[in-house]
Amino acid sequence: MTPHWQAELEATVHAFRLGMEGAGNDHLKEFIDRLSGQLNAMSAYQQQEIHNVLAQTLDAQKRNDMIHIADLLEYEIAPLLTRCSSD
Amino acid sequence: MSVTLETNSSLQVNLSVADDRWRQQLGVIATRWPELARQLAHAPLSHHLWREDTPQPTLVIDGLHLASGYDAAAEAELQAAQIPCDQADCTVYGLGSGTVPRILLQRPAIRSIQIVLFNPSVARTCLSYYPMDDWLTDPRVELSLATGTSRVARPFAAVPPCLQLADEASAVLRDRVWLDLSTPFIRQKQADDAAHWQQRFEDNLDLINQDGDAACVKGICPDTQVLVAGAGPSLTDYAAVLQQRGGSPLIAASSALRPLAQAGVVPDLVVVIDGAKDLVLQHFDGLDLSVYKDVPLIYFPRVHRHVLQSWPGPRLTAFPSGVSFKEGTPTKQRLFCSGSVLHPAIDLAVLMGAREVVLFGADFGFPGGQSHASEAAHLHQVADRFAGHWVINVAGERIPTSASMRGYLRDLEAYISRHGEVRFVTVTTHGAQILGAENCQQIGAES
Repeated sequence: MTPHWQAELEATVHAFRLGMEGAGNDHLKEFIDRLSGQLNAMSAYQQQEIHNVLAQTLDAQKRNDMIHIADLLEYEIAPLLTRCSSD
Repeated sequence: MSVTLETNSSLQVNLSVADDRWRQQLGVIATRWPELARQLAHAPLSHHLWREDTPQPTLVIDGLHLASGYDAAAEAELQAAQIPCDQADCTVYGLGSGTVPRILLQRPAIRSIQIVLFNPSVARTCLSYYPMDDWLTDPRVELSLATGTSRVARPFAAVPPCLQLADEASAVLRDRVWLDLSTPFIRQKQADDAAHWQQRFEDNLDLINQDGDAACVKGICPDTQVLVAGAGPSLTDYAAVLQQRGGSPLIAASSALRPLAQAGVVPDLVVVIDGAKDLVLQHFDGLDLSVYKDVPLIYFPRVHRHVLQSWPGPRLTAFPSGVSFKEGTPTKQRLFCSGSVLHPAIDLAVLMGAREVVLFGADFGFPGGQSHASEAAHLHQVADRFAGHWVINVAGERIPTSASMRGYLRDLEAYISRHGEVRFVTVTTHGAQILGAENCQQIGAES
C-alpha cells in the first residue's frame, strides 16, 4: 500500500519543479502535517535524521529555493521514509 | 550549505573552464544574435556557486538552485512535458542548465522554440557552466531577452529559478508567467471556496434581499475624478491631503478606514470583501462608527453578517466577477475582483462614470518594510527579502512584496488595459509602478 505521505510528497516535488509556488507550499504543509502523525512510530535516530533534512527544507523554503526543496524531498526525505516504513 | 562565491583552488579551476565555455558559446550566439551577444557580453557574472557536493554538479545563483543536483535530466523532462508532444512551436522561459530545449529539439514535431532570457547576468552565468552549443546552432531555436511588454506565449515550459532571478526589465513578463503557472492552483482554491461562498450567501440572504444593489451608483459621477484609497503604506503620506479633496468622491477599502480617520477623513463609499469576521471587525476598532451613518458600505456576499450589522450606514451588495453561485441565486451588480479589495473599489469608480481614477495607498508591496499605512489594523514590519518576491516601484527601485500582491498588481494592469476610456493615476512616492497608470507624487486639493 502506498504510504499516505507519498502522494503529498510527490505533489510537492512536482509543483516546485514546475514553478507552481502556491501549490508547492500548500502540498508541503500537508506533507509535513501527515508526516508528523507518523514520527512517533520511528526510532529517535530516524526522527533526528528526518528532522535534519526537514530543517534544510524549511531553510530552502525561506529562500524560495524551489528546486532544492524538491531535491531534498525527493532524494533525501523519501528514501529515509521508505527505509523507516520497511524497518 | 554555503551559497557564496568561494575562492578555493577547485573553484579556480572551474572558473577557468567556465571562462573558456562562456567565450566559446558567446561566439556561437554572436553569429546568430549579435545584439543579444553584445548585451550578454556586457553583463557581469551573477553571484554564484558551482556546487560539486551533490550527486550531479549544479549551479546556485543568489541562493537558488538552477537545476536538480540529483537528476537534472528527469527534472527537465518534467518541465518539457508541459508542452504537448505534437506541438510544433513553443516557448521556453529561462535557460537554466539548457536541458529543456535539448529535450524538446529531439521531438520530431518541433518546428521552432523561442527561448526567453530574464536576466543577462544569469544567462551569462548559465552559459559559463553548462554546455549548450549543441542546440544553440539549431536553426529552430530563437534566443531573446524578455521585454517589459511581452505577453505570455503558450504553450510554454518554464525553468522556475530563471523567473525568480529576473531583472527589472523582465519583471512584468516574469509575473505574467508566474500568474499563468499559478492559475490551476488559484482555480482549485476558488472551487474549494465555492461551497463556502454559497453558504455565506445563504446565511446573509435576508440582508442581501433588504439591502440595495451596487448597480444604483452606475453613472452617478459622469466624467469626473473619483479617488480610491487602499491601506498601503504610502496612504500615510497623503491621508491629510484627502481632507481637502473638494468635490471628488472618495471610495475607501475597509482596511483604509482607520488611517483615513486618523487624518479626519470620512470617505463617501466603503468597500469590504473579506469573509474573515474578526479581521474585518478590526478595521473598525477604535472608530466612532456614527460618523459613517450616511456612508454606503458596498459588500460582497461572503462578508460576515456581524460586520454588515455593525455598519451604521446604508448597505449595497455587489457580487464578485468570476464567482458562480447556485442556479437560481439572485445576483446583483458584478464588480471586478481578483483577490484585492482595491479591484472592486476601482471597478466601482469606473461604474460610477469616472473619467479619472486616482489611487492612494495602492502600493502592491511593502515600501519602507511596512505592510500597511500607519494606524491600519494589521500594520506590521516585514522582512526586507519577502521570500524573494519584489516589484519595481515608481522610483525604479525593487520593493519587497508577496506572490499574491504581485498577482493582484498584474491583474489590475490587465483591467486597466481594458479601460482605455479612463485615466488612472497612482499617487505614491515608493509604491509599485502600475502599468497603464500615471504616477503623481505631489497632489493638491484639486488635482
